[in-house]
Amino acid sequence: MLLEVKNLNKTYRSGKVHFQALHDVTVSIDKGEFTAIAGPSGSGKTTLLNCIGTIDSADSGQLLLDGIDLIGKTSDQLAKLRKEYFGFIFQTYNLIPVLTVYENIEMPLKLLRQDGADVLGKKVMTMLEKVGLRGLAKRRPLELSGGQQQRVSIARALVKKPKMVLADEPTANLDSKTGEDIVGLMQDLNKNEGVTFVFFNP
Amino acid sequence: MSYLFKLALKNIQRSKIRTVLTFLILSFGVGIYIFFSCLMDGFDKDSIKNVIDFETGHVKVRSAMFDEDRPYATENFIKNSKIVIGKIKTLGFVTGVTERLQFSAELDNGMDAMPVIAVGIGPADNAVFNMEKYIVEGALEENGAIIGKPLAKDLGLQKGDMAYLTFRNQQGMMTSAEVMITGLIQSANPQVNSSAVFIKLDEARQLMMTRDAAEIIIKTNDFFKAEEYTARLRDTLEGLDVGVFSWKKLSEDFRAMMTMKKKFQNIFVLMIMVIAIVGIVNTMLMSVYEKKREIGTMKALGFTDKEVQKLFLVEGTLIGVAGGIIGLVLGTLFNAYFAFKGMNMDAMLGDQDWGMPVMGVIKSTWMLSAYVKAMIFTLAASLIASYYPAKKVTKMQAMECLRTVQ
Repeated sequence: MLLEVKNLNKTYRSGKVHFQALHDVTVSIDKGEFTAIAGPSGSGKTTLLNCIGTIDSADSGQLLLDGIDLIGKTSDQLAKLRKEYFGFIFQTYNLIPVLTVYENIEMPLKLLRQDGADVLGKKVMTMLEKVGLRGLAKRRPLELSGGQQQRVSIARALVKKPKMVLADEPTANLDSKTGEDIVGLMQDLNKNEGVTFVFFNP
Repeated sequence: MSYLFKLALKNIQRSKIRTVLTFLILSFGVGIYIFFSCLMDGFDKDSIKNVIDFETGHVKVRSAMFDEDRPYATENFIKNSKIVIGKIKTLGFVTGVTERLQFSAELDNGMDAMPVIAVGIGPADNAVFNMEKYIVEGALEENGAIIGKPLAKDLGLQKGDMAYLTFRNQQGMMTSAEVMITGLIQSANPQVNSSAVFIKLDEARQLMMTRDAAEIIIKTNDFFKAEEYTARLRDTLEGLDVGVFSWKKLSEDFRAMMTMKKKFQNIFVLMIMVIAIVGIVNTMLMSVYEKKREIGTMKALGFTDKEVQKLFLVEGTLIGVAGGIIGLVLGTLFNAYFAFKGMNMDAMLGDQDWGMPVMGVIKSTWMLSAYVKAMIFTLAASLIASYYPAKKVTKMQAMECLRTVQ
């Protein structure tokens, strides 16, 4: 099992107000799965994504990634796990505006420090090809449409071939046609590359 | 590190106006520091030169009975100056030695009188002092006197005019002597200009009815070794009832003023630097808040807290280094003008004695240490200034950053 979530709890506190976002959540996701987690607004989907992606911490429960218990890990250990295991696709794309499309996509590879310039360049260009943005490598995010930006975000999430991609409402800001294209693209990548996808509010 | 450097460079270019403004604050601070340090160094060097050239020489010999509170009293005279000079001349490092006889007097133009110091100067005076260079009119002649141009102006005297020198001689009798103004001096020392009346040593001795000298002044081959030479002179002149003092000892008051001036200068520079630091902190904090979402994204992608912190430190350092380099150029440009053209103190202050031994044109120096200090300070300042914002970044949770609405 790639991911096992057992009895996960998370409560947000703001002054005297307490809000339990996750209550004994248990989920299992296997390698190569294409999973969608749906629910009404405020049901804790984004909190679950954040906890699974280790960018937020749970109050209690168990979170096993490839058998590794994520609870109690240090900030640096979690950063290393994120770098190696996860690809994130955000609803609002979250691209770095001062970097070009190419530079945004190469960032996860630069962080991994595994490839030389040639290999890295090839990987980025292949990814750009897959998301249909080869001709836009030198553009900056703000010079692209919403759909194009989301494609860059997908390319950035996939370029390092992560074990799991966490996608938070990836099509929410797109029109239905572009949304369908994006989902289709991710399905192809899942089928052909074997990448595990977990959608939150697909 | 090179990737972080590249990212930091891109970040700096994001808000061009803000970055340029920060550069300007910093470079202005550095430029002012360099210019001010070099100008003050020139000022100090000129001051020391003037003190040595007009007052102290490298080493001065006085009577062992010399009374600091009554510097021109006749009791201070050296009784055996010829023997003392003879001994001094045996020392190899001595390049010039002269004796002077000073006494307080009044210079009277027939209408008004001004208190002055009459200075009897011997034929060897030019081997020690640099007076001749500053005589702007006439020369020292028999029964004549050279006075400062400002003093002449105050008393309405010109070359060729007669004046009266009134004083109490060594026997305590009030005496008045008629002297002709045969020359005018405009020195770089305001005290000389406003209160000295130079006459020939023999005539001064006759007027004072003495064979003594008030002081013996020595020039050596290296004024930096003045302390060492003073000690050797003390040994040589032991038993002759004289005291030996280096120019440093004799200019203690003036050097204390220099130290005080340096302290004020440092406070002034510190204030400029604080403004520069606040500028960098402000830029960096703005940058942190502006990039909160990006920080969240970077952390989600796997950047460690340390890496993000480094990114901001590099960004701050880049601003500091660039601002510092521009500041060095600015400081050099400011300083170049004053190093070649100089600053005319007379145009600013006229003939006024403002307590420092400088007049005329002061030229700033090229002070390498000011450049090194400015660069070190800039680097330290930018690192300190970026540390707080960078530290703030490490405390931010990725999730909180990503939630930020921008």
